[in-house]
Amino acid sequence: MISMRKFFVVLFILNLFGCNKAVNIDESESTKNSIVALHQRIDSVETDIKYPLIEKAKLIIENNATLHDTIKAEQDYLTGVYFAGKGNLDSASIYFQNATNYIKKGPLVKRHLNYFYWAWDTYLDKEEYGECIAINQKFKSLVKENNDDRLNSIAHSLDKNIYLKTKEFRKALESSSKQIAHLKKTGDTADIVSALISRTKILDDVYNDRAEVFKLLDSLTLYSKDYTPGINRLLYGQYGVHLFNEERYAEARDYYEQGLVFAKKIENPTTRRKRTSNIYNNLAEVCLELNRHEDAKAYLDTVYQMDIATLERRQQRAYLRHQLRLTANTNQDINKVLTVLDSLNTYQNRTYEEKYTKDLTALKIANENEKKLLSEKQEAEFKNFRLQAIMVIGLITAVLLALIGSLFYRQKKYSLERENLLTQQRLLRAQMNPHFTFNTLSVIGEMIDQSPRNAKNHLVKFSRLLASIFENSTFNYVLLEKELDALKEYMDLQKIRIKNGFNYEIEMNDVEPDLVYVPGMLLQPIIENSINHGFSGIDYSGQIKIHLNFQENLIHCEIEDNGKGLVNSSNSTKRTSSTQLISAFIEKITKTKFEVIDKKDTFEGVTGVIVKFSIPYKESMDD
Amino acid sequence: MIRAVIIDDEAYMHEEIKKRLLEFFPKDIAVVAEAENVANALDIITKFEPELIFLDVHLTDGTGFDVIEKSDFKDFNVIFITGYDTNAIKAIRVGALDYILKPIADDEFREAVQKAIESKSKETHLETLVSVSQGHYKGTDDQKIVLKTTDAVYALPQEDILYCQSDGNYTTVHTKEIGEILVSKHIKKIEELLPPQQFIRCHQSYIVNRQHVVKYSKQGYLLLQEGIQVPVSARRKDFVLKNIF
Repeated sequence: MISMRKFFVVLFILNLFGCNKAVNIDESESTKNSIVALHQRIDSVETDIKYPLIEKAKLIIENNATLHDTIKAEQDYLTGVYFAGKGNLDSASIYFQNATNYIKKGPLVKRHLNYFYWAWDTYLDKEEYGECIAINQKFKSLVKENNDDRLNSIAHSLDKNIYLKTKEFRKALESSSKQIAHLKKTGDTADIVSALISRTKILDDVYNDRAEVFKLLDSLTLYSKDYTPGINRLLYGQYGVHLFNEERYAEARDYYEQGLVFAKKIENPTTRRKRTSNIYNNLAEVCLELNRHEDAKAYLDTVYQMDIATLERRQQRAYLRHQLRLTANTNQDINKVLTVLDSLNTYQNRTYEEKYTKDLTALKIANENEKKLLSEKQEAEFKNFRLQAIMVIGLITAVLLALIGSLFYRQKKYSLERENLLTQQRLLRAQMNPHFTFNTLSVIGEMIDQSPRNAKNHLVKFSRLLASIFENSTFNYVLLEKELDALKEYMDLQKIRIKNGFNYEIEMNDVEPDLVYVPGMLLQPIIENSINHGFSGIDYSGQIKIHLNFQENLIHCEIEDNGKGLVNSSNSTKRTSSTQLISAFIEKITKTKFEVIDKKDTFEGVTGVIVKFSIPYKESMDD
Repeated sequence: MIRAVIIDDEAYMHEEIKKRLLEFFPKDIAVVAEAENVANALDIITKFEPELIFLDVHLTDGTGFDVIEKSDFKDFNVIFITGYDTNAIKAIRVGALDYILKPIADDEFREAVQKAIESKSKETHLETLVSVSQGHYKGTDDQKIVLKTTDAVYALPQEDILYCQSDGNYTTVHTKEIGEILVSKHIKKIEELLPPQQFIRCHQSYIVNRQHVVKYSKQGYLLLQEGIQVPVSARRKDFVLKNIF
């Protein structure tokens, strides 16, 4: 179904306001007056002559930063009008919207209604209804302050048209009722007429109540000679659409032709072009129904010659549809339709390209401006800074120090978290070293009287061991071989303390001790437990077996002794507490279990402890 | 009788050494002079022309290396004495020189002195060896390493080494300029002497000089110049790849 989807209520009202009226400004400055005069001229001349004038006005505005927003808004609006006249809807919509952005709170000037209407209307043409809603929202918020019936009716009218586009007919009808209610208070008959005409469309679409529709339209036609061309165009055009829907094609054609006569009388060139193209399309369609192919072709050719590429999308679609139908009906060459389609595509691509290029340029300019502003700002700040007293410098220094301090603190916090595990390990070493140092020293002390030479040898060995432990402790990871060497030296030293002595063996499965690095001093405290607690007071020779087994990413360790095993005494709790730190560390860093098995729980008649755990390793000593 | 001198800035060390020499080598070695600093040391070396020197690395007015460098007379064996100073120990070992650690362990002392007595020919390369050690101790740029074979002593610039290959307790050092050198040292002892940032243990039996590596082949070896292939053990592949390029 074809219908006139555009409504001119608002436009009509705007026409009443008069587009050529000057912008209301009080300032008497000559620049202001000259630019207002220039704007008036732009508004009144043909589209093609507008451009150089717009450029001229733009220059003046750019060189007078103090000019009031109303002038900048008018400039944007006029630029929008120019682009709309050129059929460049993308640019036009942006300029119109910019113009509305200047409108702040306060009473709405009549001229400003144009800005809102055209911004709204252009987005409607582009079928970007979200933008339409946004613009109307802003408009309504301004209307609210003014509480004016006419303005309210406009707002509802805009709502109604958006609802029609989004096919929310019930809401559209509601808005239409509100619009008419407000209009009745103003007593403006012309407005009421156009509102009623547009209402017939909704009635037809939603309720199919054509009897009511025609009744209403006939009564409106009685006063036709009192209406403006815009209203009459709407009246006859819409009448035609209803007739068309009733399949009364011949009558429809008559009404369309009368509508065309009025459309051609519309003053505003952009509107005139839109309405006439619409009505030519409608005429073409009705001629197709009447099988008047020659006439249809003539109407369509007229649309084509109106520079089809710059028409509203809706009209382009209608044209293409009718042209296709005509081609099918008359067995014409399809190539003509294709040519039109191609030219439309080319045009659209070109406008998009232009738009992107413009966007890019605008972005570049904005960037440069920003940079300029920034450098100006910095310069100003620098001058300010120099003028300030030392106190201010001191203050800045304090702030900087605080900033650095907080940064330092944050960084420290992060590295602290990372270092946490390593620190724990170092703590462990620090705890263990004195423990076994004093043990060994006391042993050597006891030996001095009985066997000074042995004592001395032990002292030398002990100093070597201390040295290697000391060296290892400066790294987080030490070569496994060195670690094992230190362990052996340690165990050799401890042997003399145990009455019946003890042996040890180190077995390695798939481990390359001279190639891998492990955290130092992880095995020592477990062996120390075996010697100090497991072997204390036993009447047989002790035995320690260390088994290392290479696994993926970890080295699995088993340390087994044949000592007393875990005893429920102070010893056992001591044993637990000294390994607790190590087990916690290992479980945290390897995510594997640290197991302590008392052999007598598993094997009858056998004593001793097996400790099973895994240690991490690396292929180099760097962390 | 071998004429020996002791150069150490700590008086008690003189007693420790003399006591042990008397106990273990009463007929072989006689201490003919003693000194506490570099100046006195140079004096007594010129005066007594000793065959063996016990030389402390740290002296009050310089180092043991300085003593040998400055001395005109160099026809002697030297046993360095050092405390726990990793840099000094590594410097001595890079120069393939002998040393004993403080405090002195009897067995280590006997071994070192015995070796000095048995090496009848005096250390003819002493100057070269000490300059390598000195260079390492001071951290100069063109670092060298001393490699001793049964019939030669090489002071080799480290960058000349392509790779090292282990064969039990022997290691073959493959060089760019002078071919293969067979050293009677375990590969891990060699590894300890080489800077880890430059040399990478890519395999149980191989050390490679990363600056000569051209590429890694997925078949599990590193390709060096002139098509030399050095194997990479599967387990160390990730480590090698991470560190070599």
